[in-house]
This record gives sequence, C-alpha cells and structure tokens, in this order.
Amino acid sequence: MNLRDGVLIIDAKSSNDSLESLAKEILLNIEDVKEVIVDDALGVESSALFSLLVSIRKTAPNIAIDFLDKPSINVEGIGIVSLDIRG
Amino acid sequence: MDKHDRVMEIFLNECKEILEEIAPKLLNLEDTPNDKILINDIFRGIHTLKGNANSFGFVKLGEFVHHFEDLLSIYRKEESVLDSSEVDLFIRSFDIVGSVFEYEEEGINGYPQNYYEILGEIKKALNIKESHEQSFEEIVSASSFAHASQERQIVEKMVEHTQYDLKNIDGKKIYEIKLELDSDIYLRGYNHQIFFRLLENLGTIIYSNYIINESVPTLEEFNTEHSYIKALYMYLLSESDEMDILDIFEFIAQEHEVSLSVVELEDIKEIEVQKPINEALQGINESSDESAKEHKSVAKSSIRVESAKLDELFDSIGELVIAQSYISQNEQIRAINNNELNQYLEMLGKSTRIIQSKVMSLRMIPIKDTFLKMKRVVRDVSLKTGKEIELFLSGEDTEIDKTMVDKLSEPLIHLLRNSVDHGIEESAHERISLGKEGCGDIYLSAAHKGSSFVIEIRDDGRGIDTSKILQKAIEKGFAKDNVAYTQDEIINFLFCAGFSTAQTITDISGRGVGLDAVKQSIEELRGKITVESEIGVGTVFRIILPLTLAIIDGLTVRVDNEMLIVPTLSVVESFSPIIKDIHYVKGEGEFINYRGEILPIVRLNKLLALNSSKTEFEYSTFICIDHERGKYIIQVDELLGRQQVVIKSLGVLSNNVKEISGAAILGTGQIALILNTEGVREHLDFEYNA
Repeated sequence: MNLRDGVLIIDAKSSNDSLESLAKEILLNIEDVKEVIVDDALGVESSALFSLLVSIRKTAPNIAIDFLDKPSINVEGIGIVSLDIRG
Repeated sequence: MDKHDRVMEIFLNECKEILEEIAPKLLNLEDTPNDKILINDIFRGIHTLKGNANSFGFVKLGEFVHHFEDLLSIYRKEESVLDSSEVDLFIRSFDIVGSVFEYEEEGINGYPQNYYEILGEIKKALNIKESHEQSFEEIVSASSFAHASQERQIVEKMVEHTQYDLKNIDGKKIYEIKLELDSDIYLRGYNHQIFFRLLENLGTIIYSNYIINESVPTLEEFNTEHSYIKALYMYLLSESDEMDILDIFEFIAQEHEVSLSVVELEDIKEIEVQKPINEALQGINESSDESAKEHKSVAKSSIRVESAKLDELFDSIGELVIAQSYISQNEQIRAINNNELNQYLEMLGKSTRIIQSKVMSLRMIPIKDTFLKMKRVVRDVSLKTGKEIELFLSGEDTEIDKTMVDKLSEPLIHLLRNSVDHGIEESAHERISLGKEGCGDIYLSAAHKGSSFVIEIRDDGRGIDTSKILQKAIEKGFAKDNVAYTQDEIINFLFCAGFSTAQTITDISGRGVGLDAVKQSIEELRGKITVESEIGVGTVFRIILPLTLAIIDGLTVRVDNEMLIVPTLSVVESFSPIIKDIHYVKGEGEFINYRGEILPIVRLNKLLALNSSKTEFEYSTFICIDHERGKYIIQVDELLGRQQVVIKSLGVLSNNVKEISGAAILGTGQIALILNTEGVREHLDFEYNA
C-alpha cells in the first residue's frame, strides 16, 4: 500500500484480487489516510476500483477522494467519466 | 484580497444569508405544511444556493442541494399536504446543507456525518414521489418512464462535461451505448477496458457514466467478486453504423442487456438552448410567485459594507462629537458672544448629533434572526425531552448593536435549553394535574427600556425551588449554614461556577457549561442578568444590555480631582448619607444601613489611590451599586450628571487595573475613566476573604 503523509495512492492497474487485499490494508490504516489519489497513468484495469472508492467514502467520509469529489474526471484510456451513485 | 477572494467572500455571505432566511421558514412549515408560498420560498433559496455552489465549484454542496431541490420541486407543485415526517426530512436535509456549506467554506475534506444517510432518504422520497406521479401517468409504464428520465439526465451530463464541441461533429453520429450489468460480471471475466479499446477503433468516446449502486458496503465487507456497478453509459462519436457497434458487445449481449441509441442533435441543441430558457422562466415564475405573496418584501436598494469600516466610521464620528462638545463648551469661544457664531455652533451641534444618530443606526439590526434561530433550539430540545412546548416570540424587530447580536446566541440557547429541560414540568400529565395546560409555554421577548435592551425568557413551568438551591449551595460551600439569605441572593448562587441542582446531567443543558458562563457572556457585553421565579408558576430570566457597545450611559462623578463614569445599568440610586446609619466594624471595614440592608462602603479615592486622606462622609455622595453577589456602596465626592459617552479602550494600559474598564473624553476635553463595577466587587470579595 502506497501511503505517505496521509496520501494513499492507488494504482489503477490493480487487479480485482489486489483491490480486495488493498481494501483490507486500507481498513487497518484508515486513521492515517487523509486523501486518496488514483494513479491512472496506465488506465483503469478494473471498474471495481470505482466501487472501492465509494466503499472508502462510506467507511470514512472525511477522506478526500478526487475521483468522487469532482463531477467528472479524465481517466486515461476511458476519457471523461462521471461516477453516479444511485439507489 | 484579490478579485477572486472578494467575489468568493460575497458568495459566502450570500449563502449564509440564504441559509439564515430558510431556517425559520422550514420551522414555520411544521405549523403550516400546506403553505405553498412557504415551500416556494424555501425552494427558491435552495435553488439559488445550488446555482452559487456550482458556480464556485462547491461540488459536495451542489450535489446535495440538487437532490434537495428536486424533492422540494415535487412538493411545491403537488396538491398533497406534507406530513410531519416529510417536514422533518426537510429540516434534517437543511442541517446537512448547513454542515456541507461549513465544510466547503473551511475547505474540510470529506462529508459531514449523516450526509449519505440523508441523501439516501431524499432519493428514496424522490423515487416514491416519482412512482406516485407515474400512477397518474397511465399512458407511460413505470419502467420505461424511469428509463427515459434517467437517460435524459445522463445526456444532459454528457453535454455538460464532454470536452468535445458538439456543434461541429461533421456528419458523425453520437451513439449512446448502455450496458446493464449483473452483480456477478467479474466472475464471468467482464473487463470494461475491452469495450473502450474496441470502441476507440470505431470513433471517439466523448463521455462515460458509471452508475454505481449506493448499496456498496464499507471496507469491512467489500468484495471484488461482487460488482456494484449497475450500468455503464458510453457516448461514442462515430461514422460507423449501428451494427458495427453492436458487434463489439455480441459476446455479452446474451447475459447482459445492451441497448444502443442515437442521440439526436436536436435533443442536444434543445438541452443547450433550454438551459438559459429554463433559468429565465424560473426567474419569471419566481417573480410572479413573488407578486402573489401576501407579505411582499419591499425591494430595497442596498450595498454591502464591511462591519470593520462601520467601526472606523463610528470612531471618527466619536472624535467629531468630542471636538464639537469641546468647541461648544470652550469658555474662550463662548466669551466671543457673537450671534452668527452662536448660530453656526448650534448648527454644528445639531448636525453632529444627527450624523452620530445615523451612524449608530447603521450598526443596529433587529434581533429577529437570532430569535428565529431559537425556534429551532426549542423544537429540537422539545423533541429530545418529549415535552410539548410552544415558543412565543415578541419584539423581534427591536434593534440592537450587530456586534452584540452575534454574541447573544449562545447565552440564549443555553437559557432556552434550561427552560425546556429544567423549567417545564417532566410531563403533560404532571402539568395537567397542577391545573396547567399540557403544553408548556415559553415566551421570548425583546424590548427597549430607557437606554437598555431587555430580553426576557419566561416559562410557565415549575419555578425555582430556592430551598433546594440553598441546600446545594451550602453543600458546595457557596453559602454558610447559619446565614439568612434573601431569595435573590439564593437564586444568585445559580450563577456560581460549578453550581448545578440537576439530579442527572443531560445532553441538553448539562454540558458542563453552566449559568455562570451565561452570566459571563452577558457581562462581557456590559449587561446583567436577573432571575424572578415563583414555585409552580414559572421563571423569568431577564437580560439587560446597553443598546450598543460603543456608547455607555453613565453617571459622571468626581473623585478627588478625577472624573469617573459609573455605568447607569449598575446603579440602584445615589443619595446623601445619614451619618448615624454608617458603622465601622473593626477588621471588616465601613458599612451603611441602606433600607434595612447592611452594605459595605467602598471609598473610591482610596481604592484608586487618588488621595489617601479620608473625605468626610457628610460632604460626599453615596451610589448604591447592584451586583449579583450583593449590593455595595461607592463613595464619591460629587455627582455631576448623567450622560452618554463614547467608550475608548485603554488597551494594555488597563489590563492590570480591574476596577477600570475604559475611558471617555468629556465635552470639556477632560478624560474620564469608566468604572468597572465588577472589578470593584472583586476587590471587596478579596478584602473580605483576606
């Protein structure tokens, strides 16, 4: 897990398995995480990443997550994307 | 401050004003849930807030108020009456709006507590309302109606967020590809990258939208074998035909629903054109709604001025008043005795008084907003305690110095919580058995009385049991067992730090901040607080404040060769002493029998080290000072009169002189020190303890 000075950098090329173990690691260190940045320089491997970001937000609403805090983002390999959370 | 900061400041102030305006309206909605004008008012406020938030990139605020606005929009059109749970949702939603605004203003990351819960409730209410509306729309089936409305929203988002110029697409088509995905897609090897990669071969993906199910669990239960993505919308700008595009999705089309449609350019133009039209129509509707209002607000031309600038202006006017007084009272000028000069001096005096009065009025604002906030306080405490309470407001338009208004909220909240929590009887049954109405009444009123501003918090509860207070005061060491205390003295123990008669500490009024903190806040405003209570009838807390912090109404007195100002608010009366009533108690000091009470005498000349020689009592004037720890007498050489003076701070010079709170320049040009009656009392307490 790449966590430095409260900033957690998630590699968007992570597989689903990596994301699941990352979720557990984040949970253990949740107190130290202040901000989440997604490194999408090489594209987003799995759309489960987006769900993981929402899960982090639900677990700790105070963590800043630029992917969720902006109405749309420009993701490498996908283009302009919005994430809508709906019932 | 650069231009952006200034604009941002204006925006923030506007938002605060909107929030302050909406708060009391929501509470009024509880009483009149059928009032469409009220709902419209609230809707307009939230609508403006949404526009402002989005303009300044306050995404969190924009998102929440967007949904809140949608909900309000349904109710403002509907014929049905809101029920109490719906009003409650409005109120809780508004609380979140306030919290999110604070987060945005302070730049705090994340979301306030309950943000998602309340947003979920709004969305749920929206869904219920929308499906309810559908039942009236018999022509359209529920599913297709929902489907169409969702797509329209997403097309609008596409138009808003895409970086592509949609007006110049050179004969290409914009395709909307919608994938509805099951929760087990990952187990079947679904990879979204494949679609993006293959679609890029056919054209340009100009926008995508992932619809994520809000049931995503917290990290404890997060599972990547389960997909929480309900749907994916992709917008492709392409020259290819539909079959080429559908071929890409052939291998998942058997298990998942794939739909393809062409976004009509006319639709896009309509969205782009409709936006300003809608906004304009909104404005027209709003203005026609406004005209329908029974209580129209009169349009006022106004400008915003920083309060610091007003303070500077006020200081300058203070100097002008002093200079004018000096000129008009100067013996040499008066000796000229020229009619024309006298006329101009009179004009100068009159104009100065008018300017001073006008500038003073700029600082004065009605207490209304603060009072309206208190309705919410009483509502919440009433709900928490389960006591039915009605709050009656009066005198809300009474004006007071703005700087004081800001500092009055906390003490008022505390006193009202106390009234509900401790003042009103525990149950309606108990009240009825005492011959009262089941619902407790609390009256909050404001009025100008002389040069003071008086706020009263009156309840019709059980009253204060002074015997219990005395017992507690003795237990806590605030009172002595064998001393006869007056009712007022006993009640004053309530204001001692650490005093509480509550059997249990509640989260409403037992927050570790007692009435001593209220008293301290009021005294910081140079005011005082009194209590009247009758067992079984109720209690009145009365806050008496000067109208402004900039001017003080005082008695001008002479002590030795010095002039002093004694705040009128603290004065009971002045009188010439009768020598036989004065007694000297060895080791204790000098006392006077004042209307049957034995009060200590403070010789100001001695206290302020002005003159060590004793002034004979028979040649001096006594002033009785009111204080919650007991009255006392100050001895002065001469009482010169009563006047209002502009207060000048002595800054660090007076930090160590607790008996003096400031200074004023009199009309004669002389400087008069302002007596701090609290500081004098502390000196007495210290002497007695010693």
